[in-house]
Amino acid sequence: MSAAPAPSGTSPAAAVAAPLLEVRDLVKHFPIGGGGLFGRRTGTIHAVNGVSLTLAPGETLALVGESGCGKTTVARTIARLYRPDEGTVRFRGRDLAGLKGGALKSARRALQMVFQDPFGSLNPRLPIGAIINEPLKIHRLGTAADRRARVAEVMTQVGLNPRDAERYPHQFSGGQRQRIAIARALALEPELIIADEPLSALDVSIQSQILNLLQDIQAARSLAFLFITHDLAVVDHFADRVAVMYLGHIVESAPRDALFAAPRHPYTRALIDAIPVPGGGKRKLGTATRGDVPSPAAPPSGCPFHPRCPRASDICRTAMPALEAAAGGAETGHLAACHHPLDPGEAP
Amino acid sequence: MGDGKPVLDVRDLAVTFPSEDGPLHAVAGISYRIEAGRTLGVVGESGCGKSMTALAILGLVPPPGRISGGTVRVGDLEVTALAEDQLAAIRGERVSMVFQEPMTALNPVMTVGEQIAEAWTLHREGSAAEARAAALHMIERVRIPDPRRRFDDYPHHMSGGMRQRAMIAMALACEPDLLIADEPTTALDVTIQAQIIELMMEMQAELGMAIQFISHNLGVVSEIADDVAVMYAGRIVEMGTAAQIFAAPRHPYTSALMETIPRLGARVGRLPAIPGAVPDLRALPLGCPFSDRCPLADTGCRAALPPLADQGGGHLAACFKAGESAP
Repeated sequence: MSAAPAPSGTSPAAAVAAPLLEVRDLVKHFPIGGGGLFGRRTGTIHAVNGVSLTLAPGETLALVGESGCGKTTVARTIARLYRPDEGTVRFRGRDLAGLKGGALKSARRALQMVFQDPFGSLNPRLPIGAIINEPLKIHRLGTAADRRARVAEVMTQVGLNPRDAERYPHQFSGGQRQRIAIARALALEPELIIADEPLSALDVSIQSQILNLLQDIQAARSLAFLFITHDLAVVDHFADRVAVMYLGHIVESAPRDALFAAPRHPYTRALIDAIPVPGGGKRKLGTATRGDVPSPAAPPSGCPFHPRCPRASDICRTAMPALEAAAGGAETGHLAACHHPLDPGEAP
Repeated sequence: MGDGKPVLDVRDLAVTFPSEDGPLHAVAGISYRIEAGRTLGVVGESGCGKSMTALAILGLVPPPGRISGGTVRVGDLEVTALAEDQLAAIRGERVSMVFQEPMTALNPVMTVGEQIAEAWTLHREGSAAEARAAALHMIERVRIPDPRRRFDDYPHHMSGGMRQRAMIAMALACEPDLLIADEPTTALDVTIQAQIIELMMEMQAELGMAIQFISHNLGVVSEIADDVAVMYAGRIVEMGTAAQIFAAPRHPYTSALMETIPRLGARVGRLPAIPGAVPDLRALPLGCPFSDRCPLADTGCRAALPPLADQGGGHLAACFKAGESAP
């Protein structure tokens, strides 16, 4: 493992470089029903409703939200596991949808994914060395000996012993399996790793090991991360920038420090306030945000958060607010989609 | 932890599973008590024995596992001595349980209202109309909006948060003395988790039951527990009031767990990490089970098992180095 120091704050390179990833007005809906025995289409899941985001080389963007907010769909659409209904995904300046042949293969090499469940994402019948070698083989990189050396190299980088290459996934603990998945993603020297809740399936004492590993990897080489998570405390620790999603929309987007110091969207405030703090004492009754997360199959009119929002007014029930710079946010890139954004430091 | 008469009194409880490598002690001799109106948070990682302890209290240890030692008293009843039909009579009546995923505990082909009514009928005499009225009342009490309409919903019609409310309504239908909640908020979003924690606190204030709240999440336990027990490899390694545990943890495992969690606003360059993996009961180190991951461990720790000893003020820790800080 690298002994390089962990990155802190925003990377200065991130602000000036051309974007590595540029997502514009992404829309992805899924039909409900319409298949199987009683195939009748009964509705539509509005998973992603016009999401735009950019990611600079070497930058870590955290996409945060609760279940059903669309964050995983965004990740999978960027990785081309889903085809977008509308909008574009440009990677290294080129529209992924138009890529073919060698250019597509090259883009696939540069964009890798790490999933939540490190068991489900590893082939149980292959020894881990073969699992890590597989992408190298598919992309026909180097000789067999080169590939073996590369497998040993990335195994060492993620804290695995290369001598364990012949062992099978079930012989490893959950944390080690996530290391294997990360090694596989790193084998092709990607420029972007999309990590979808990579810590959620791990025990508490193992999560920090993997978080530190991701930081080491990023410090050792300029690698951009799109980090999908529900855990704002992890985001505060790891991300350069944060985008908060709610029911298919980005409702707030800001550099990490600005977001946590002065969230503008009442939903962001609610998320921050809901994080239980060890040693923070018993919960004060009556402080929980009311109501349920609406179903993405029946999103509310206007602002999607209005049924739960303490600040909602008539306009919130009818008009979707645009994601735009709130007061003082133009220079820092602090955007919020709210008709009644919070002033810095204000309680909801 | 108080002087009242305990609702639950567990002494030297052991749960053992046979294996090719010899008997595995999923629970290796633990003792604790919970009084009426109080909440004990039981914290630990996977395989530490926290869920198995709960199943043992309900007489639900899955075979070939068995209670291999100790006693479990619920009020004046010795649970480990009861036959299956006697156990069935106290489940739901004296002791109830809610689980992480209500979908696995609720019947998918019965309406939520019917299920709550059924839970009531199992232990109460009354007509179908009375059972229905009691169920409706419970749905109101757990603050499910529009109770009359929700009564006829099937579990899959409900959101995760509403299902957990329905599960709690079912568990509390007969006003048990003890509620065991095993990771009840783990599958929920944080804003809904906060609602469920508040609901459990409110129901406890109304009904006065004792709660054993099992979680891997120290933050959640901190929000609801009066007292905290930290488990590791089948043992309680630290126990005390929530204030004692969170303000001044005495066991290196507890303090390492707290330091290793990323916290809002407390930014450190790198998180302190606990080395190694969650313990494998088939391959525990000799002596203290945490000794192979502990920064303070010495030869003494690897030779003998430290007893759970009072560190002052009823704050218990099973550590020869209790209170020392890492080098």
